[in-house]
Amino acid sequence: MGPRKKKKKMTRAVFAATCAIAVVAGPLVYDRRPGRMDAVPRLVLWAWERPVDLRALPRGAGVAFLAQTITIGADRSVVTPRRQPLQVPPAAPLVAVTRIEAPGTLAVVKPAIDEAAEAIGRTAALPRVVAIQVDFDATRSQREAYRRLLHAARRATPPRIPLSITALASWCLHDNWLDDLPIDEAVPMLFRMGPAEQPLRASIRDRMRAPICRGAIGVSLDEPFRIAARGSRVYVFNSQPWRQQSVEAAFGLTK
Amino acid sequence: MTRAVQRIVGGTIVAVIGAAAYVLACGPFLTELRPVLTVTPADRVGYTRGDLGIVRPQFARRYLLQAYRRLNGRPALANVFGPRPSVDSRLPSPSPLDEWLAFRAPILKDADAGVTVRPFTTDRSIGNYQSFPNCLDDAFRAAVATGKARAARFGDGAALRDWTLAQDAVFANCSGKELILPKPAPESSDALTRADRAYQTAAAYFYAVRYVEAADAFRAIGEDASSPWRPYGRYMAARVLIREATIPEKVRPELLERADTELRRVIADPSASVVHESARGLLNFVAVRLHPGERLKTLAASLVGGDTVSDRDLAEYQWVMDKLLGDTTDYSYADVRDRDAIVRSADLNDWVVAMQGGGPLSLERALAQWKRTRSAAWLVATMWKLPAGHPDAPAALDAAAAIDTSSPAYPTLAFLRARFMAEAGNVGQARTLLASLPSAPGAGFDVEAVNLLAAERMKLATSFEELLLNAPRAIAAAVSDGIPEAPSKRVPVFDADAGIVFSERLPLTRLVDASLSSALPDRLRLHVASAAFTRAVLLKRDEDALKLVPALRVLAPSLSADLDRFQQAAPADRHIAAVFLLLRTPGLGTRVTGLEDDVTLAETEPSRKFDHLFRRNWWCGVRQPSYERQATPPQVAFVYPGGDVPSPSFLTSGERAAAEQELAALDRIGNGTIYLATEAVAWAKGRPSDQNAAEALAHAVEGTRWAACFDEKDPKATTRASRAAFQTLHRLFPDSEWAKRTKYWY
Repeated sequence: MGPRKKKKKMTRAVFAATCAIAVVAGPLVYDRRPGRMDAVPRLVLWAWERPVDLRALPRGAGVAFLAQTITIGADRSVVTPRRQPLQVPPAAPLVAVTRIEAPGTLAVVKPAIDEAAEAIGRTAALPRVVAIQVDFDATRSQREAYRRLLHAARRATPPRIPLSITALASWCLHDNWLDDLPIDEAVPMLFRMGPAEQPLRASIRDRMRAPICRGAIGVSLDEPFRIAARGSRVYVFNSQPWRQQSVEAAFGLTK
Repeated sequence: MTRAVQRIVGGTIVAVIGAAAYVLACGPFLTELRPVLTVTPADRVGYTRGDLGIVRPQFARRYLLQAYRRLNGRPALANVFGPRPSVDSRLPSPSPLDEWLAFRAPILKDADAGVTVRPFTTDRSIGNYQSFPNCLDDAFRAAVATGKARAARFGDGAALRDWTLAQDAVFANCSGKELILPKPAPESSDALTRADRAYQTAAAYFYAVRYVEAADAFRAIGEDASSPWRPYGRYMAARVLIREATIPEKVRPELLERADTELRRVIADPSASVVHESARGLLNFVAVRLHPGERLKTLAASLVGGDTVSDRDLAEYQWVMDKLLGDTTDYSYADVRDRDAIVRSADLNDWVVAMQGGGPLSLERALAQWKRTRSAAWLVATMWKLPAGHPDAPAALDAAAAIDTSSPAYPTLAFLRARFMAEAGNVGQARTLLASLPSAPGAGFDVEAVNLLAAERMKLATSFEELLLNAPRAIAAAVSDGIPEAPSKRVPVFDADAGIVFSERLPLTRLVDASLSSALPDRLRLHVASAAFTRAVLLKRDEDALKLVPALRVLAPSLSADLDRFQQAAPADRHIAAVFLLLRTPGLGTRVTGLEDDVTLAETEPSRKFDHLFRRNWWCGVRQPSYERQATPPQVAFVYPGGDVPSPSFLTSGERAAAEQELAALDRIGNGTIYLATEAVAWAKGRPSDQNAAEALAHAVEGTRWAACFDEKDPKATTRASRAAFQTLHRLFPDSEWAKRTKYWY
């Protein structure tokens, strides 16, 4: 074996080792732990800011409820907790959702990010919460700050609690920027997509570039052309108050 | 540099360029360009001035208030739109809380001083995952003002520190679970200090939701003639009762009754004048919850009677009506729970519910009230709901016809008369009336009104020329994320009704005629010509396609070379030339776009590149896309009350049948991605030496990558088509540049 060939082999070996380390260590670096989402059921009903009575919710489903809204400004953030009651069965697993709102440019000032992150982390301490979720339609210019916020939120959250985010469908497709986020799940919201509906419906299943999007989908009960769940965790949005009939319809989505 | 390193460097460069391309791409946010809005009038300036245009039944209640005032001869309200909501407005900087924290910091310098609640929040949890805003901005403002007054009096010594520590304890109750009371004032302290501490103690009970102790303590302050806080004592006791009665939001009337009594005593007490205005506000707050009908009556009197209306009254009106009707403007009249109370409260409220509410009962009410009052407002409500053949229709129509052209009701009633006549089958009368109405904005008719009149004219067109003249509309508003803004461009667009008529009602021959006519503006003519050409190719009607070539060459110069090839091709080669053109032009589809958006508006020619973002490449079908099909678009329902857009009346039965047959044939052809891939494969296999076939196959494969269509019944159909085109390309043209460029199927 000549020195040139040997060097080439070594380069390949280094490259292969680097790839292997990246594959193995990547999830650890970004604190993605396999199985952490297991406590969250396959069906989760979103409960937004209105009085919600789901005391009759059958076993097998969870509730992702809006726990707070954080408005992030130039140098500070304001936390507005949930104003409406949520009633659920004692055994129902809950996902505490934090909605983020921000003006055009999201603050990258550390105190504002840290304040928001700590507030997100605190929702993990609410009773029966098994996961937390962040809901933020970040524009392109807000992504860097959002990325920092999520890293800070992960640090502020107990390690056993998974961190989920809602995602614009495009983030999971051609516009993937999610790979290095410290999240356990990204839920593509496959509703209210307007003209983007057809292409996204066409490609959402087979062309998810972001692996983190493959475990869950978000759908709406009032959309007549829903995307089949096919084994994913299904988060269901209901524009009307939850009633027995709509809960049954939501269960139908996972069959 | 080794080849491996070169590869890594090269790969890095590609990755960086790729990343840059992503950074430069746009997000999937579309701005809809709406010729007519439903809930909000588009012309904010005109509507604020009192020019109503055509009043729509699902307008938000504050806009209906403006309409009611104008229809009843009252002046317009300048503040009817209110301020635009802003996220920034929720972030005052510095907030009253910040000001308090800044005040206390230098006084309580050491970290252990004061009561530390981490994190400090002004909201208090009350179970069931619910919180309420416990300590309001005014509390922090008052604390800062009082603190400054005490600093002026006592200096910055121990007395000020004690006061600040006590106030810190008060605010610790904002969110803390345990009651924290301020330390009692020392025996030796003066009267002011003792009075301050009594008030702080009462406030601590209040924020700790210990309402009984709080109310007693505040009442005692109200009885203490020596306390500077005496004027606030009874007022605060009332606030305690109100909070106990309403949080959580299960109103306890007996507590509100007691609060009402307390507040009336406060107002009767001249020495409490400093809180009289606030007490009156709270009385209204109580009245709304105890007797919403009565409060609505009072509010309506102020909203209609005054020449101006306060923002506070407008906000309260919205709040009360939202509580009674829900946060919606589209509901069943019969299902309004407190309808009788609303109806009895005031004519304004009666009218608003009759306008917005759907179903026969709302017509009954509107008609009864119009007969009783003969007012323009009730006539408008009646005319929106009156069905053809109703026995009262002739009288209502006569009354509407008698409205003076200078009346604010005139545009609405003129439009509704025409609509009614058309529904009743009196098309000639309706057309005559429409001919007398404006076709450009001005004199009470805003852009939306003119668009609605154009839509009605298009519906009743007796000739194709007339239909074409009335199909284009002006953009009234650019709607992004539900918020309408003034449009930046005023170019003509189609609305949903035109999209349906051109795409699903007209036969190809009419589409060709429209493409060649000068009646349509060029950009809309291009939209029609593009769809017509695509359909002609798919239906193999080369003669029709050839007719379109000269027009397309002018309207879309970038297609010229491919159009020339198509035109010059021998008849046996023509279809292949057309397929080649389509494969090179992903912007060509079978439908004529109805409602437009900022992306379609920016396109000046059919795109020659694949749309990677919205994947609007070629076509998925000829029927309405599902996102448009979910419900009748409201702007269509204004003109077509039944929701269905019928075939134009001038079409012959043969033309209607032809349109149906063509749609069925296009349905059978299916989506463009698979069709074109299949055609490209057939072409290549039939003519394996034709190098253009290699390019066609490459476009077909790329098209499957950016496909916009999904077949639930056969989800793998696109992949099969992609693989077939890919394999054909690499088998028949392995050395072609197109094969090298095409590395994968999808």
